[in-house]
Amino acid sequence: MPIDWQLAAVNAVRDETPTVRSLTFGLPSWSGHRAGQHVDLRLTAADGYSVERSYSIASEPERVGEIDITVERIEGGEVSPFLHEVVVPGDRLEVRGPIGGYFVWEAELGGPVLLVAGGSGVVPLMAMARHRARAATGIPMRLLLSSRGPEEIIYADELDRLAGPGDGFEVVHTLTRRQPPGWTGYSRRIDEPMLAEVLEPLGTGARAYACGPTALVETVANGLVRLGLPPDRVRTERFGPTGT
Amino acid sequence: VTERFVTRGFVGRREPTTDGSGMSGEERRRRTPPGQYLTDGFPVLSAGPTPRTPLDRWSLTLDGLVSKPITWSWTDFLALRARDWVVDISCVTKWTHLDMRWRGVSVDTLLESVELDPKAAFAIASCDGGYTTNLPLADVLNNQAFVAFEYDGASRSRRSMAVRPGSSYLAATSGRAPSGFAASASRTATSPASGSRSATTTAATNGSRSGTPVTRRPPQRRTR
Repeated sequence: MPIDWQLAAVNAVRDETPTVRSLTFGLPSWSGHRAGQHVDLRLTAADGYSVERSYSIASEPERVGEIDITVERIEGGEVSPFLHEVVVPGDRLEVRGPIGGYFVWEAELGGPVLLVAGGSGVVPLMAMARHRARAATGIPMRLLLSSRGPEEIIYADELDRLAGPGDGFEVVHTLTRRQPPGWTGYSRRIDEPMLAEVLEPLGTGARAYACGPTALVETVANGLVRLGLPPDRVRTERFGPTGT
Repeated sequence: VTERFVTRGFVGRREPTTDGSGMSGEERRRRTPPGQYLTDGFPVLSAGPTPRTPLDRWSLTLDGLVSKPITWSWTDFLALRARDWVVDISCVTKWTHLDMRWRGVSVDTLLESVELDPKAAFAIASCDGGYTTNLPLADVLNNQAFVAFEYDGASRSRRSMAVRPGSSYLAATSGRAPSGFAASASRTATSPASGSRSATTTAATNGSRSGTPVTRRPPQRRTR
């Protein structure tokens, strides 16, 4: 069944990092989504030239009538620079969704849950973390997030807040290029020993969701299977080309 | 949205991307289905860990509305009559790669080994990882679909492309399978490129989408 395009209103824009921005869309025919799903965006020029891109939904399903997407500005890109530099609140954009039924987590699925992301791969996982918080289930959930430096951590403050109460949500950062003075956390790319340490408190009964560049996701998915997770409990979403 | 909505301030990029094929930007644009963007890469879109099935445990089974089910081992399968195919892939995740070069076995060749029940009207393909996809047999027969085992001449490739297929399965049915193939993650019977699966890959035919990278369109001549 085809999903119709609808005209979303840009209700707000918010810079998350120097190169990452969130946009809030008001949806006239909001149907609810599941954490992990994405929407398509269609941009059309005056002469009919048109492009489409898919973006993960960052917001939790509990929010009614609007969704957030979070977009990293890709240098030389066709769509992300437009979303960063041209779009302002009050604009309208064509949106279609929600889409996707596999890379999703809902509180009813239970836990424990391991989330692993590189850079803007955190976006669909953030929808899961936000959903977990709103559902108030106390399901154990750990997020391992790889960022280049402290200023490039997407949702940094909110992640701190979500982990604050100590109700079962924890964040483990690795900063691969620049670390703040006194940093005692990980400072390397995600590898199998790191996965083993982060997975350990959750055990091999965990469900895992990995999202990020292909190379990172490949490392994570293969590593988690070697560490004992059944392959069908490891769900992945990859972006960027591979094999090039 | 019925009428075309123009996005305020959007111009877009029009310069033709080049792929070294000698194809003009105009031709590439003409051959790109609506909403798709062109890539010369091979994005990995597996929805889970890359399957690591050893080749000695690989199998391809053809059953369903056939006289007698048949199973090929990897060695059996490679002994079947193979040929080159040049086809486009258009993935539901919006990338299109034109003129991908494959080597593989036509589904017609596989069907020569069985007697197909006249009631058979659809084919379901499933494979390692739990994906399935289904197609009307009319869109499969007559060299419209193949099971590929090599991409872009594995031996000539810049990167060595190991073929690491998982176990595969093809069934003929008389009824439509429960899931529509245009909407669901699709499945290929083999996996090219260092174990990657074309999990959500779909093949485009005249702008429409089918659910599988097993191609639905007749092979086309590549102009050189």
